[in-house]
Amino acid sequence: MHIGIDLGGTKTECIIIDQNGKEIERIRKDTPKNYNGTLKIVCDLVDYLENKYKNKCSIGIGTPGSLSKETNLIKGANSIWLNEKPLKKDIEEKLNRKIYFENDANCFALSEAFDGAGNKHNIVFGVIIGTGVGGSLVINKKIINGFNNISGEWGHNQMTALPNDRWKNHNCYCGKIGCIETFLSGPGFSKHFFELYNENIDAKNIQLKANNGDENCLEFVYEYIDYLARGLSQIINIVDPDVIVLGGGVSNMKQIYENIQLQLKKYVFSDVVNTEILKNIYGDSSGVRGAASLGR
Amino acid sequence: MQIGIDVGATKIESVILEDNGEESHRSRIDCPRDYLKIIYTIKDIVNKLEKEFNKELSLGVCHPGTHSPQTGLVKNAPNCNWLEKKPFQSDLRKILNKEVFCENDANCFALSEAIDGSGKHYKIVYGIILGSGAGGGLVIDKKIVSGPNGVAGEWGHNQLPYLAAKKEKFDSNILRDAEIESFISGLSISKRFNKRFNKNLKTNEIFELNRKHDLDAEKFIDEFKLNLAMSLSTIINILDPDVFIFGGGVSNEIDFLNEIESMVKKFVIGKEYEGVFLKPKYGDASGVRGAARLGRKSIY
Repeated sequence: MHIGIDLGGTKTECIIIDQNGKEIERIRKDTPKNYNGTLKIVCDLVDYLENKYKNKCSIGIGTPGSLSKETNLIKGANSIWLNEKPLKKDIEEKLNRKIYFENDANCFALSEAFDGAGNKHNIVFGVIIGTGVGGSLVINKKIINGFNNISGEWGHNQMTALPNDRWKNHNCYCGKIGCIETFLSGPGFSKHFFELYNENIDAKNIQLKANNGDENCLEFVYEYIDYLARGLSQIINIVDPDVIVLGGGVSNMKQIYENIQLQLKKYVFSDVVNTEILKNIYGDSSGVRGAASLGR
Repeated sequence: MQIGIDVGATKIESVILEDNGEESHRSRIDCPRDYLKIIYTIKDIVNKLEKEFNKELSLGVCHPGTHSPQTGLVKNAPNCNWLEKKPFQSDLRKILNKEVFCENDANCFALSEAIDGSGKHYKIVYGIILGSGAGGGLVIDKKIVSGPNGVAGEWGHNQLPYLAAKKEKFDSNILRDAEIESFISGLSISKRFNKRFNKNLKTNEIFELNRKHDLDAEKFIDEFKLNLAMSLSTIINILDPDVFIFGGGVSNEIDFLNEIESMVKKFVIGKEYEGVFLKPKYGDASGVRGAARLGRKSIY
Protein backbone atom coordinates (compact mmCIF):
# COMPACT_ATOMS: atom_id res chain seq x y z
CA MET A 1 0.00 0.00 0.00
CA HIS A 2 1.04 3.60 -0.55
CA ILE A 3 0.73 6.64 1.66
CA GLY A 4 0.61 10.13 0.21
CA ILE A 5 0.87 13.33 2.26
CA ASP A 6 0.21 16.80 0.88
CA LEU A 7 1.69 19.59 3.01
CA GLY A 8 -0.54 22.50 2.03
CA GLY A 9 -0.34 26.06 3.26
CA THR A 10 -3.45 25.69 5.39
CA LYS A 11 -4.36 21.98 5.29
CA THR A 12 -2.29 18.84 5.57
CA GLU A 13 -3.95 15.95 3.79
CA CYS A 14 -3.06 12.30 3.86
CA ILE A 15 -4.39 9.26 2.01
CA ILE A 16 -3.56 5.59 1.87
CA ILE A 17 -4.22 3.76 -1.42
CA ASP A 18 -3.90 0.13 -2.46
CA GLN A 19 -1.96 -1.29 -5.43
CA ASN A 20 -4.72 -0.36 -7.86
CA GLY A 21 -4.91 3.25 -6.73
CA LYS A 22 -8.12 2.73 -4.78
CA GLU A 23 -8.45 5.07 -1.84
CA ILE A 24 -8.72 3.31 1.53
CA GLU A 25 -8.63 6.12 4.02
CA ARG A 26 -8.22 9.87 4.02
CA ILE A 27 -7.24 12.20 6.86
CA ARG A 28 -7.31 15.99 6.84
CA LYS A 29 -5.68 18.22 9.46
CA ASP A 30 -4.76 21.85 9.93
CA THR A 31 -1.18 22.56 8.92
CA PRO A 32 1.09 23.39 11.86
CA LYS A 33 2.80 26.58 10.72
CA ASN A 34 6.26 25.72 11.98
CA TYR A 35 8.98 23.31 10.97
CA ASN A 36 9.03 20.90 13.91
CA GLY A 37 5.26 20.65 13.88
CA THR A 38 5.40 19.72 10.20
CA LEU A 39 7.91 16.92 10.87
CA LYS A 40 5.78 15.64 13.73
CA ILE A 41 2.51 15.58 11.82
CA VAL A 42 4.09 13.60 8.97
CA CYS A 43 5.52 10.98 11.32
CA ASP A 44 2.31 10.74 13.35
CA LEU A 45 0.19 10.20 10.24
CA VAL A 46 2.51 7.49 8.91
CA ASP A 47 2.68 5.70 12.28
CA TYR A 48 -1.08 5.83 12.69
CA LEU A 49 -1.86 4.43 9.21
CA GLU A 50 0.83 1.76 9.25
CA ASN A 51 -0.28 0.52 12.68
CA LYS A 52 -3.90 0.49 11.64
CA TYR A 53 -3.37 -1.41 8.37
CA LYS A 54 -0.37 -3.47 9.58
CA ASN A 55 1.52 -2.74 6.40
CA LYS A 56 4.82 -1.03 5.64
CA CYS A 57 3.92 1.45 2.91
CA SER A 58 5.78 3.59 0.42
CA ILE A 59 5.67 7.24 1.42
CA GLY A 60 5.22 10.10 -1.02
CA ILE A 61 5.29 13.70 0.16
CA GLY A 62 4.07 16.71 -1.78
CA THR A 63 5.37 20.06 -0.55
CA PRO A 64 5.39 23.64 -1.73
CA GLY A 65 8.70 24.79 -3.20
CA SER A 66 11.42 22.43 -4.30
CA LEU A 67 14.71 20.96 -3.15
CA SER A 68 17.77 22.92 -4.17
CA LYS A 69 20.12 20.78 -6.21
CA GLU A 70 23.09 22.43 -4.53
CA THR A 71 22.14 22.27 -0.88
CA ASN A 72 19.19 19.84 -0.69
CA LEU A 73 17.31 22.46 1.31
CA ILE A 74 13.77 23.59 0.44
CA LYS A 75 13.61 26.76 -1.66
CA GLY A 76 10.85 28.91 -3.05
CA ALA A 77 8.07 27.66 -0.74
CA ASN A 78 5.30 30.05 0.21
CA SER A 79 5.02 28.05 3.46
CA ILE A 80 8.03 30.05 4.50
CA TRP A 81 8.75 27.96 7.62
CA LEU A 82 9.94 25.19 5.28
CA ASN A 83 12.45 27.31 3.34
CA GLU A 84 16.14 26.59 3.94
CA LYS A 85 15.23 23.38 5.81
CA PRO A 86 16.40 19.82 4.95
CA LEU A 87 12.83 18.51 5.02
CA LYS A 88 13.38 15.36 2.99
CA LYS A 89 16.48 14.32 4.93
CA ASP A 90 14.83 14.98 8.30
CA ILE A 91 11.71 12.97 7.43
CA GLU A 92 13.83 10.11 6.11
CA GLU A 93 15.84 10.09 9.34
CA LYS A 94 12.76 10.11 11.53
CA LEU A 95 11.00 7.37 9.56
CA ASN A 96 14.25 5.51 9.00
CA ARG A 97 13.65 4.85 5.27
CA LYS A 98 13.76 6.48 1.84
CA ILE A 99 10.73 8.50 0.79
CA TYR A 100 9.44 9.99 -2.46
CA PHE A 101 9.46 13.74 -2.41
CA GLU A 102 7.94 16.07 -4.97
CA ASN A 103 6.62 19.58 -5.38
CA ASP A 104 2.89 19.70 -4.54
CA ALA A 105 1.94 21.24 -7.86
CA ASN A 106 3.84 18.46 -9.62
CA CYS A 107 1.81 15.91 -7.65
CA PHE A 108 -1.39 17.68 -8.65
CA ALA A 109 -0.48 17.76 -12.34
CA LEU A 110 0.67 14.15 -12.32
CA SER A 111 -2.57 12.98 -10.79
CA GLU A 112 -4.68 14.98 -13.26
CA ALA A 113 -2.57 13.89 -16.24
CA PHE A 114 -2.72 10.26 -15.17
CA ASP A 115 -6.41 9.71 -14.66
CA GLY A 116 -7.90 13.17 -14.23
CA ALA A 117 -8.95 16.03 -16.48
CA GLY A 118 -5.83 15.85 -18.64
CA ASN A 119 -5.72 12.10 -19.19
CA LYS A 120 -6.28 12.33 -22.96
CA HIS A 121 -3.48 14.78 -23.63
CA ASN A 122 0.30 14.59 -24.03
CA ILE A 123 1.32 17.97 -22.69
CA VAL A 124 -0.50 18.90 -19.51
CA PHE A 125 0.22 22.06 -17.57
CA GLY A 126 -1.24 21.88 -14.07
CA VAL A 127 -1.93 25.24 -12.47
CA ILE A 128 -2.56 25.83 -8.78
CA ILE A 129 -4.34 29.01 -7.79
CA GLY A 130 -4.79 28.75 -4.05
CA THR A 131 -2.85 30.16 -1.11
CA GLY A 132 -0.03 30.53 -3.60
CA VAL A 133 0.27 30.25 -7.35
CA GLY A 134 2.28 27.38 -8.78
CA GLY A 135 2.19 24.84 -11.50
CA SER A 136 3.79 21.91 -13.14
CA LEU A 137 4.46 20.51 -16.55
CA VAL A 138 3.71 16.86 -17.29
CA ILE A 139 4.64 15.45 -20.68
CA ASN A 140 3.58 11.93 -21.63
CA LYS A 141 2.59 11.26 -17.98
CA LYS A 142 6.03 12.20 -16.70
CA ILE A 143 6.81 15.19 -14.51
CA ILE A 144 9.25 17.65 -16.08
CA ASN A 145 11.30 18.97 -13.18
CA GLY A 146 13.62 21.13 -15.21
CA PHE A 147 17.36 21.60 -15.06
CA ASN A 148 17.07 23.54 -11.78
CA ASN A 149 13.93 21.92 -10.35
CA ILE A 150 11.87 25.03 -11.05
CA SER A 151 9.66 24.15 -14.04
CA GLY A 152 6.12 25.34 -13.51
CA GLU A 153 6.87 28.32 -11.27
CA TRP A 154 5.00 30.73 -13.53
CA GLY A 155 3.58 32.48 -10.44
CA HIS A 156 6.83 34.34 -10.03
CA ASN A 157 6.94 35.89 -13.44
CA GLN A 158 5.67 39.43 -13.60
CA MET A 159 2.03 40.09 -14.35
CA THR A 160 1.43 41.66 -17.77
CA ALA A 161 0.62 45.34 -17.20
CA LEU A 162 -1.87 47.48 -19.10
CA PRO A 163 -2.34 51.23 -18.76
CA ASN A 164 -5.85 51.24 -17.30
CA ASP A 165 -5.30 48.53 -14.71
CA ARG A 166 -7.11 49.08 -11.43
CA TRP A 167 -5.11 46.50 -9.51
CA LYS A 168 -1.85 47.67 -7.96
CA ASN A 169 1.52 45.95 -7.92
CA HIS A 170 2.63 44.51 -4.61
CA ASN A 171 5.90 43.21 -3.26
CA CYS A 172 6.14 39.44 -3.34
CA TYR A 173 7.80 37.37 -0.61
CA CYS A 174 10.24 36.16 -3.30
CA GLY A 175 11.80 39.62 -3.46
CA LYS A 176 10.35 40.80 -6.75
CA ILE A 177 7.51 43.23 -7.42
CA GLY A 178 4.23 42.48 -9.17
CA CYS A 179 4.60 38.71 -9.38
CA ILE A 180 1.63 36.87 -10.90
CA GLU A 181 1.12 35.21 -7.51
CA THR A 182 0.39 38.56 -5.85
CA PHE A 183 -2.54 38.97 -8.27
CA LEU A 184 -3.96 35.49 -8.72
CA SER A 185 -3.56 33.76 -5.34
CA GLY A 186 -6.51 33.67 -2.96
CA PRO A 187 -4.91 36.17 -0.57
CA GLY A 188 -3.94 38.41 -3.51
CA PHE A 189 -7.51 38.25 -4.75
CA SER A 190 -9.02 39.45 -1.47
CA LYS A 191 -6.24 42.00 -0.89
CA HIS A 192 -6.99 43.73 -4.17
CA PHE A 193 -10.70 43.59 -3.41
CA PHE A 194 -10.03 45.34 -0.13
CA GLU A 195 -8.01 48.04 -1.86
CA LEU A 196 -10.72 48.74 -4.41
CA TYR A 197 -13.85 48.41 -2.28
CA ASN A 198 -12.52 48.82 1.25
CA GLU A 199 -14.26 45.63 2.30
CA ASN A 200 -12.36 42.84 3.99
CA ILE A 201 -13.68 39.49 2.73
CA ASP A 202 -11.85 36.38 1.59
CA ALA A 203 -11.69 34.96 -1.92
CA LYS A 204 -14.33 32.32 -1.27
CA ASN A 205 -16.91 34.83 -0.06
CA ILE A 206 -16.24 37.22 -2.93
CA GLN A 207 -17.08 34.34 -5.26
CA LEU A 208 -20.22 33.54 -3.27
CA LYS A 209 -21.40 37.14 -3.43
CA ALA A 210 -20.63 37.29 -7.15
CA ASN A 211 -22.72 34.19 -7.72
CA ASN A 212 -25.55 35.85 -5.85
CA GLY A 213 -25.42 38.84 -8.18
CA ASP A 214 -23.44 41.40 -6.18
CA GLU A 215 -22.32 43.86 -8.85
CA ASN A 216 -18.99 44.90 -7.36
CA CYS A 217 -18.03 41.32 -6.74
CA LEU A 218 -19.07 40.23 -10.21
CA GLU A 219 -17.12 43.02 -11.89
CA PHE A 220 -14.14 42.13 -9.74
CA VAL A 221 -14.40 38.45 -10.67
CA TYR A 222 -14.38 39.33 -14.38
CA GLU A 223 -11.32 41.50 -13.82
CA TYR A 224 -9.66 38.57 -12.09
CA ILE A 225 -10.35 36.35 -15.10
CA ASP A 226 -8.68 38.91 -17.35
CA TYR A 227 -5.57 38.84 -15.14
CA LEU A 228 -5.69 35.03 -15.13
CA ALA A 229 -5.75 35.05 -18.94
CA ARG A 230 -2.67 37.30 -19.00
CA GLY A 231 -0.80 34.88 -16.77
CA LEU A 232 -1.87 31.75 -18.65
CA SER A 233 -1.07 33.34 -22.03
CA GLN A 234 2.57 33.63 -20.92
CA ILE A 235 2.61 29.87 -20.45
CA ILE A 236 0.93 29.27 -23.80
CA ASN A 237 3.33 31.53 -25.70
CA ILE A 238 6.31 29.69 -24.25
CA VAL A 239 5.24 26.02 -24.04
CA ASP A 240 1.83 25.82 -25.76
CA PRO A 241 0.48 22.88 -23.70
CA ASP A 242 -2.45 20.80 -24.99
CA VAL A 243 -4.43 21.45 -21.85
CA ILE A 244 -4.16 23.57 -18.72
CA VAL A 245 -5.82 22.01 -15.67
CA LEU A 246 -6.70 24.40 -12.87
CA GLY A 247 -6.62 23.49 -9.20
CA GLY A 248 -6.52 25.18 -5.80
CA GLY A 249 -9.26 27.06 -4.00
CA VAL A 250 -9.76 29.84 -6.55
CA SER A 251 -10.23 27.34 -9.38
CA ASN A 252 -13.74 26.67 -8.08
CA MET A 253 -14.81 30.00 -9.59
CA LYS A 254 -17.26 28.84 -12.25
CA GLN A 255 -17.07 32.09 -14.27
CA ILE A 256 -13.48 31.22 -15.22
CA TYR A 257 -14.50 28.38 -17.49
CA GLU A 258 -17.24 30.39 -19.18
CA ASN A 259 -15.10 33.43 -19.98
CA ILE A 260 -11.44 32.54 -20.09
CA GLN A 261 -11.24 31.64 -23.80
CA LEU A 262 -12.45 35.06 -24.85
CA GLN A 263 -9.86 36.77 -22.67
CA LEU A 264 -7.01 34.47 -23.75
CA LYS A 265 -7.53 35.54 -27.35
CA LYS A 266 -6.38 39.03 -26.42
CA TYR A 267 -3.00 37.87 -25.18
CA VAL A 268 -2.00 34.66 -26.97
CA PHE A 269 0.07 35.10 -30.14
CA SER A 270 -2.47 33.32 -32.32
CA ASP A 271 -5.72 34.09 -34.12
CA VAL A 272 -7.54 31.24 -32.42
CA VAL A 273 -6.80 29.70 -29.04
CA ASN A 274 -7.31 25.95 -28.94
CA THR A 275 -5.85 25.36 -25.52
CA GLU A 276 -8.39 23.70 -23.28
CA ILE A 277 -8.69 25.26 -19.85
CA LEU A 278 -10.23 22.62 -17.61
CA LYS A 279 -11.20 22.27 -14.02
CA ASN A 280 -9.52 19.45 -12.15
CA ILE A 281 -11.43 16.23 -11.53
CA TYR A 282 -10.06 15.18 -8.16
CA GLY A 283 -10.34 18.61 -6.57
CA ASP A 284 -8.32 19.18 -3.46
CA SER A 285 -7.35 15.54 -3.34
CA SER A 286 -5.41 15.62 -6.61
CA GLY A 287 -2.21 16.67 -4.87
CA VAL A 288 -2.37 13.96 -2.28
CA ARG A 289 -3.33 11.30 -4.86
CA GLY A 290 -0.32 12.34 -6.94
CA ALA A 291 1.92 12.14 -3.87
CA ALA A 292 0.74 8.61 -3.10
CA SER A 293 1.18 7.65 -6.78
CA LEU A 294 4.87 8.55 -6.64
CA GLY A 295 5.54 5.19 -4.99
CA ARG A 296 3.39 3.13 -7.37
CA MET B 1 18.96 11.20 -47.59
CA GLN B 2 16.52 14.08 -47.25
CA ILE B 3 15.95 17.46 -48.86
CA GLY B 4 15.60 20.49 -46.61
CA ILE B 5 14.47 23.89 -47.85
CA ASP B 6 14.49 27.08 -45.82
CA VAL B 7 12.20 29.82 -47.14
CA GLY B 8 13.38 33.05 -45.53
CA ALA B 9 12.47 36.69 -45.98
CA THR B 10 15.41 37.29 -48.31
CA LYS B 11 16.66 33.88 -49.54
CA ILE B 12 15.69 30.31 -50.25
CA GLU B 13 18.28 27.84 -49.08
CA SER B 14 18.36 24.12 -49.82
CA VAL B 15 20.42 21.15 -48.65
CA ILE B 16 20.54 17.42 -49.05
CA LEU B 17 21.36 15.85 -45.73
CA GLU B 18 22.59 12.31 -45.16
CA ASP B 19 21.38 10.45 -42.07
CA ASN B 20 24.81 10.93 -40.47
CA GLY B 21 24.50 14.70 -40.83
CA GLU B 22 26.75 15.18 -43.86
CA GLU B 23 25.60 17.59 -46.52
CA SER B 24 25.90 16.34 -50.09
CA HIS B 25 24.45 19.48 -51.64
CA ARG B 26 23.84 23.08 -50.65
CA SER B 27 22.59 26.06 -52.59
CA ARG B 28 21.20 29.50 -51.93
CA ILE B 29 19.13 31.83 -54.10
CA ASP B 30 17.27 35.09 -53.58
CA CYS B 31 13.68 34.71 -52.45
CA PRO B 32 11.27 35.92 -55.18
CA ARG B 33 8.88 37.39 -52.55
CA ASP B 34 5.86 36.26 -54.49
CA TYR B 35 3.75 33.31 -53.43
CA LEU B 36 3.39 31.51 -56.77
CA LYS B 37 7.00 32.12 -57.75
CA ILE B 38 8.10 30.61 -54.44
CA ILE B 39 6.01 27.49 -55.05
CA TYR B 40 7.49 27.03 -58.54
CA THR B 41 11.03 27.74 -57.33
CA ILE B 42 10.68 24.98 -54.74
CA LYS B 43 9.28 22.63 -57.36
CA ASP B 44 12.28 23.31 -59.63
CA ILE B 45 14.76 22.74 -56.81
CA VAL B 46 13.19 19.44 -55.81
CA ASN B 47 12.83 18.15 -59.36
CA LYS B 48 16.43 19.06 -60.15
CA LEU B 49 17.82 17.40 -57.02
CA GLU B 50 15.78 14.24 -57.45
CA LYS B 51 16.94 13.98 -61.05
CA GLU B 52 20.55 14.59 -60.07
CA PHE B 53 20.51 11.90 -57.39
CA ASN B 54 18.15 9.76 -59.41
CA LYS B 55 15.75 8.86 -56.62
CA GLU B 56 12.75 10.18 -54.75
CA LEU B 57 13.77 12.07 -51.62
CA SER B 58 11.72 13.12 -48.60
CA LEU B 59 11.17 16.86 -48.35
CA GLY B 60 10.97 19.21 -45.38
CA VAL B 61 10.34 22.93 -45.73
CA CYS B 62 10.77 25.54 -43.02
CA HIS B 63 9.34 29.03 -43.20
CA PRO B 64 8.37 31.93 -40.95
CA GLY B 65 5.03 31.55 -39.18
CA THR B 66 3.11 28.33 -38.84
CA HIS B 67 0.18 26.50 -40.42
CA SER B 68 -2.98 27.00 -38.41
CA PRO B 69 -4.30 23.60 -37.33
CA GLN B 70 -7.88 24.76 -38.06
CA THR B 71 -7.63 26.40 -41.45
CA GLY B 72 -4.40 24.94 -42.82
CA LEU B 73 -3.33 28.47 -43.73
CA VAL B 74 -0.07 30.12 -42.72
CA LYS B 75 -0.34 32.54 -39.80
CA ASN B 76 2.06 34.62 -37.67
CA ALA B 77 4.43 35.46 -40.52
CA PRO B 78 4.33 39.27 -40.47
CA ASN B 79 7.78 39.66 -42.05
CA CYS B 80 6.80 37.50 -45.05
CA ASN B 81 3.32 38.73 -45.80
CA TRP B 82 3.33 36.93 -49.15
CA LEU B 83 2.95 33.69 -47.16
CA GLU B 84 0.23 34.95 -44.80
CA LYS B 85 -3.13 33.17 -45.12
CA LYS B 86 -1.84 30.88 -47.88
CA PRO B 87 -2.31 27.07 -47.93
CA PHE B 88 1.44 26.66 -48.41
CA GLN B 89 1.77 23.03 -47.36
CA SER B 90 -1.21 21.75 -49.33
CA ASP B 91 -0.16 23.68 -52.46
CA LEU B 92 3.33 22.19 -52.25
CA ARG B 93 1.89 18.71 -51.81
CA LYS B 94 -0.34 19.18 -54.85
CA ILE B 95 2.30 20.53 -57.19
CA LEU B 96 4.95 18.00 -56.17
CA ASN B 97 2.48 15.18 -55.81
CA LYS B 98 4.19 13.87 -52.67
CA GLU B 99 4.34 14.33 -48.91
CA VAL B 100 5.85 17.65 -47.84
CA PHE B 101 6.62 18.42 -44.19
CA CYS B 102 6.28 22.08 -43.29
CA GLU B 103 7.42 23.61 -40.03
CA ASN B 104 8.24 26.94 -38.44
CA ASP B 105 11.86 27.98 -39.08
CA ALA B 106 12.75 28.57 -35.43
CA ASN B 107 11.42 25.11 -34.56
CA CYS B 108 13.67 23.63 -37.28
CA PHE B 109 16.63 25.54 -35.89
CA ALA B 110 15.98 23.99 -32.47
CA LEU B 111 15.43 20.53 -33.96
CA SER B 112 18.68 20.61 -35.90
CA GLU B 113 20.67 21.71 -32.87
CA ALA B 114 18.95 19.11 -30.67
CA ILE B 115 19.65 16.23 -33.07
CA ASP B 116 23.33 16.74 -33.84
CA GLY B 117 24.21 20.30 -32.84
CA SER B 118 25.15 22.00 -29.57
CA GLY B 119 22.11 20.56 -27.80
CA LYS B 120 22.51 16.93 -28.73
CA HIS B 121 23.23 15.76 -25.20
CA TYR B 122 20.20 17.47 -23.70
CA LYS B 123 16.59 16.42 -23.26
CA ILE B 124 14.79 19.78 -23.26
CA VAL B 125 16.21 22.22 -25.79
CA TYR B 126 14.93 25.77 -26.11
CA GLY B 127 16.16 27.40 -29.31
CA ILE B 128 16.26 31.18 -29.18
CA ILE B 129 16.29 33.16 -32.41
CA LEU B 130 17.37 36.74 -31.92
CA GLY B 131 17.42 38.21 -35.38
CA SER B 132 15.24 40.85 -36.90
CA GLY B 133 12.54 39.44 -34.61
CA ALA B 134 12.64 37.47 -31.35
CA GLY B 135 11.31 33.93 -31.58
CA GLY B 136 12.23 30.42 -30.70
CA GLY B 137 11.39 26.76 -30.72
CA LEU B 138 10.97 23.98 -28.20
CA VAL B 139 12.31 20.47 -28.74
CA ILE B 140 11.87 17.69 -26.18
CA ASP B 141 13.47 14.28 -26.72
CA LYS B 142 14.45 15.30 -30.29
CA LYS B 143 10.84 16.08 -31.16
CA ILE B 144 9.39 19.50 -31.93
CA VAL B 145 6.70 20.62 -29.51
CA SER B 146 4.31 22.77 -31.47
CA GLY B 147 1.19 22.61 -29.32
CA PRO B 148 -2.47 23.11 -30.22
CA ASN B 149 -1.92 26.74 -31.24
CA GLY B 150 1.49 26.31 -32.86
CA VAL B 151 2.94 29.03 -30.64
CA ALA B 152 5.41 27.14 -28.42
CA GLY B 153 8.60 29.20 -28.54
CA GLU B 154 6.88 32.55 -29.05
CA TRP B 155 8.34 33.97 -25.84
CA GLY B 156 9.07 37.20 -27.73
CA HIS B 157 5.37 37.98 -27.77
CA ASN B 158 4.94 38.03 -24.04
CA GLN B 159 5.14 41.41 -22.38
CA LEU B 160 8.50 42.60 -21.19
CA PRO B 161 8.58 41.81 -17.45
CA TYR B 162 7.16 44.68 -15.47
CA LEU B 163 10.34 45.64 -13.65
CA ALA B 164 11.99 46.35 -16.94
CA ALA B 165 8.89 47.86 -18.49
CA LYS B 166 8.58 50.59 -15.90
CA LYS B 167 12.13 51.73 -16.58
CA GLU B 168 11.68 51.72 -20.32
CA LYS B 169 9.62 54.22 -22.25
CA PHE B 170 6.88 52.79 -24.43
CA ASP B 171 3.37 53.67 -25.40
CA SER B 172 1.64 51.17 -23.19
CA ASN B 173 -1.69 51.72 -24.90
CA ILE B 174 -0.47 49.47 -27.67
CA LEU B 175 0.01 45.97 -26.29
CA ARG B 176 2.46 45.06 -29.05
CA ASP B 177 4.79 47.91 -28.11
CA ALA B 178 5.20 46.39 -24.67
CA GLU B 179 6.24 43.00 -26.05
CA ILE B 180 9.68 41.56 -25.44
CA GLU B 181 10.31 41.59 -29.19
CA SER B 182 9.88 45.36 -29.27
CA PHE B 183 12.86 45.74 -26.96
CA ILE B 184 15.41 43.10 -27.81
CA SER B 185 15.01 42.16 -31.49
CA GLY B 186 17.49 43.45 -34.03
CA LEU B 187 15.00 45.80 -35.65
CA SER B 188 13.93 47.31 -32.34
CA ILE B 189 17.51 47.73 -31.09
CA SER B 190 18.51 49.94 -34.01
CA LYS B 191 15.18 51.75 -34.01
CA ARG B 192 15.34 52.58 -30.30
CA PHE B 193 19.03 53.45 -30.31
CA ASN B 194 18.78 55.75 -33.31
CA LYS B 195 15.73 57.50 -31.95
CA ARG B 196 17.30 58.04 -28.56
CA PHE B 197 20.72 59.24 -29.69
CA ASN B 198 19.65 60.73 -33.01
CA LYS B 199 21.92 58.46 -35.04
CA ASN B 200 21.48 56.28 -38.07
CA LEU B 201 23.23 53.02 -37.23
CA LYS B 202 22.60 49.37 -37.96
CA THR B 203 22.26 46.88 -35.10
CA ASN B 204 25.67 45.30 -35.68
CA GLU B 205 27.27 48.75 -35.70
CA ILE B 206 25.76 49.48 -32.29
CA PHE B 207 27.27 46.26 -30.91
CA GLU B 208 30.58 47.21 -32.54
CA LEU B 209 30.47 50.61 -30.81
CA ASN B 210 29.77 48.84 -27.53
CA ARG B 211 32.90 46.74 -27.96
CA LYS B 212 34.83 49.96 -28.55
CA HIS B 213 33.46 51.31 -25.25
CA ASP B 214 31.37 54.10 -26.75
CA LEU B 215 29.53 55.47 -23.71
CA ASP B 216 26.07 55.72 -25.31
CA ALA B 217 26.30 52.28 -26.86
CA GLU B 218 27.62 50.75 -23.64
CA LYS B 219 24.76 52.17 -21.64
CA PHE B 220 22.26 51.02 -24.22
CA ILE B 221 23.65 47.51 -24.46
CA ASP B 222 23.71 47.26 -20.65
CA GLU B 223 19.99 47.87 -20.70
CA PHE B 224 19.63 45.33 -23.47
CA LYS B 225 21.40 42.75 -21.31
CA LEU B 226 19.03 43.41 -18.43
CA ASN B 227 15.96 43.14 -20.66
CA LEU B 228 17.24 39.92 -22.20
CA ALA B 229 18.04 38.38 -18.80
CA MET B 230 14.61 39.23 -17.42
CA SER B 231 12.87 37.87 -20.49
CA LEU B 232 14.82 34.63 -20.35
CA SER B 233 13.93 34.24 -16.69
CA THR B 234 10.25 34.07 -17.67
CA ILE B 235 11.01 31.01 -19.79
CA ILE B 236 13.01 29.46 -16.96
CA ASN B 237 10.31 29.99 -14.34
CA ILE B 238 7.77 28.26 -16.57
CA LEU B 239 9.81 25.55 -18.28
CA ASP B 240 13.39 25.47 -16.96
CA PRO B 241 14.86 23.88 -20.10
CA ASP B 242 18.12 21.94 -20.01
CA VAL B 243 19.81 24.16 -22.55
CA PHE B 244 19.29 27.45 -24.38
CA ILE B 245 20.79 27.79 -27.84
CA PHE B 246 21.11 31.30 -29.23
CA GLY B 247 20.84 31.74 -32.98
CA GLY B 248 20.14 34.64 -35.33
CA GLY B 249 21.99 37.81 -36.26
CA VAL B 250 21.79 39.55 -32.88
CA SER B 251 22.94 36.38 -31.09
CA ASN B 252 26.01 36.36 -33.33
CA GLU B 253 26.89 39.78 -31.91
CA ILE B 254 26.49 38.64 -28.32
CA ASP B 255 29.83 37.88 -26.72
CA PHE B 256 28.51 38.12 -23.17
CA LEU B 257 26.36 35.00 -22.70
CA ASN B 258 28.11 34.22 -19.39
CA GLU B 259 27.16 37.62 -18.08
CA ILE B 260 23.52 37.10 -19.11
CA GLU B 261 23.52 33.75 -17.35
CA SER B 262 24.61 35.24 -14.04
CA MET B 263 22.13 38.12 -14.40
CA VAL B 264 19.29 35.64 -14.93
CA LYS B 265 19.84 34.33 -11.38
CA LYS B 266 18.42 37.50 -9.90
CA PHE B 267 15.05 37.00 -11.57
CA VAL B 268 14.60 33.24 -11.23
CA ILE B 269 12.58 31.93 -8.31
CA GLY B 270 14.82 30.82 -5.46
CA LYS B 271 17.61 33.06 -6.86
CA GLU B 272 19.58 29.98 -7.79
CA TYR B 273 20.22 29.07 -11.37
CA GLU B 274 22.66 26.97 -13.24
CA GLY B 275 22.01 27.09 -16.94
CA VAL B 276 23.61 26.01 -20.12
CA PHE B 277 23.71 28.84 -22.66
CA LEU B 278 25.23 27.84 -25.98
CA LYS B 279 25.79 29.12 -29.48
CA PRO B 280 24.53 26.87 -32.31
CA LYS B 281 26.94 24.40 -33.84
CA TYR B 282 25.57 24.93 -37.34
CA GLY B 283 24.84 28.64 -37.02
CA ASP B 284 22.54 30.08 -39.66
CA ALA B 285 22.50 26.74 -41.48
CA SER B 286 20.61 25.05 -38.67
CA GLY B 287 17.18 26.02 -40.00
CA VAL B 288 17.60 24.29 -43.32
CA ARG B 289 19.24 21.25 -41.69
CA GLY B 290 16.31 20.99 -39.28
CA ALA B 291 13.91 21.18 -42.24
CA ALA B 292 15.69 18.23 -43.85
CA ARG B 293 15.31 16.31 -40.58
CA LEU B 294 11.52 16.65 -40.70
CA GLY B 295 11.26 13.71 -43.08
CA ARG B 296 13.71 11.58 -41.10
CA LYS B 297 13.22 7.88 -40.61
CA SER B 298 16.18 7.36 -38.30
CA ILE B 299 15.85 7.65 -34.54
CA TYR B 300 18.40 9.94 -32.92
